[in-house]
Amino acid sequence: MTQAHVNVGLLRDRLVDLLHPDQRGLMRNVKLSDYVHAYSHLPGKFNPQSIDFHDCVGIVVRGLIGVKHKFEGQDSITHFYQQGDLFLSAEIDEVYNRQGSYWQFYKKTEMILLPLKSSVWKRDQPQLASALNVQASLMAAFTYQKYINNLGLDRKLFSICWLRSNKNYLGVVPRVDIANFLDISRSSLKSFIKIAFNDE
Amino acid sequence: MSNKRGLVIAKRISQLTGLPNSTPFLRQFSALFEGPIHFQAHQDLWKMGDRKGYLWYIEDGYGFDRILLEDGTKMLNGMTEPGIFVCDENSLLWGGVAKTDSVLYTPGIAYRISHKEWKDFVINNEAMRNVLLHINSHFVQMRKLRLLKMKMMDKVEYWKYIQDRFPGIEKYCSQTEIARYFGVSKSTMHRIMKTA
Repeated sequence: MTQAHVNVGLLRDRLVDLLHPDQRGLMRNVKLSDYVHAYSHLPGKFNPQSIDFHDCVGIVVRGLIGVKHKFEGQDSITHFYQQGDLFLSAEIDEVYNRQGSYWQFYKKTEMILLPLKSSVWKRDQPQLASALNVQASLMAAFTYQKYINNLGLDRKLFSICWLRSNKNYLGVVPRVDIANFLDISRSSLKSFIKIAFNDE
Repeated sequence: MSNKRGLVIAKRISQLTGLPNSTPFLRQFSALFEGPIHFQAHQDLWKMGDRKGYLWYIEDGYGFDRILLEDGTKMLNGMTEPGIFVCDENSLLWGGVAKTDSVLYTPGIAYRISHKEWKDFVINNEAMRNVLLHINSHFVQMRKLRLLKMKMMDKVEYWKYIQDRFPGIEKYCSQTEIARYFGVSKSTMHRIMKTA
């Protein structure tokens, strides 16, 4: 099996998970590789001119992306995508983007994209295309609610758990971004890193 | 179709989208709702563990839905207020029992449609699907904004803004619940409320 097949297989698994259990049969016999395209981006801010990314669902094959937004002139980071994570391009699409959201690539990142509104995809898979569109749209709102709820968790416990599960981020993501994501000060981050890794 | 029901739902979607409320698919969609259903203060819209899920339209009344967090505590998940559509989103997306509960703290009026009927209609009706995508993108922006306000906005100003949106919120929700909704400790919340 080639790497490309493995990557498309990963996207297929994520899309199956995205669908309602009653809809999952729609994915049977769909040759996703006919509709997806691969894309890679060097570290830095996403350049929207580099690709037509409107209404895409995708997965990160390798690399790391942070999602940043502008609020009263300041940048704020709310979540990351790493290998195997499903994402929706709508969150940074300028049509729906009053918050000036953008992707920050921390490493060279490779991804696979499925354009949900492509006419060929909609023509060949009308039921699946409709179902995925609805699920993707609902999931976008649902996921942001999850980020909101995470902020309601005890900051210290949440931060320590998150740091332990995402140790690999520390070498690539600036501390200021990690502190902003966790909604803690840089000095708290320093002390939580000590606790997270000294207790191991 | 009840005229009142048809008018209420179609009128609200018309406000959200700019489409005329006489648009045939909006009227068809509205006709699938049950209601009006009248609620007394402190009545549940739904409870954790409910098997049959509904999407609710709130015509009148205020409340909150709560979610069970990973650490075992319950958190205020979202505010219920006139003009919004609410549901247990996890079961709308993937079926299964409700992971949240929702209570109207004041007397209220609501309409409902089952998740299944809602999904069948939206998936099979392209025009309605486009309306949903439009409305949902608005919700995503609202949630992004709330997330950013929680992280970045002056908390005293944010508290004043929430009090304006839900008059009397402190009478209905505990200070601990409000603190979690704000993403701060109970003592910080106490200070914020005092300062405001």
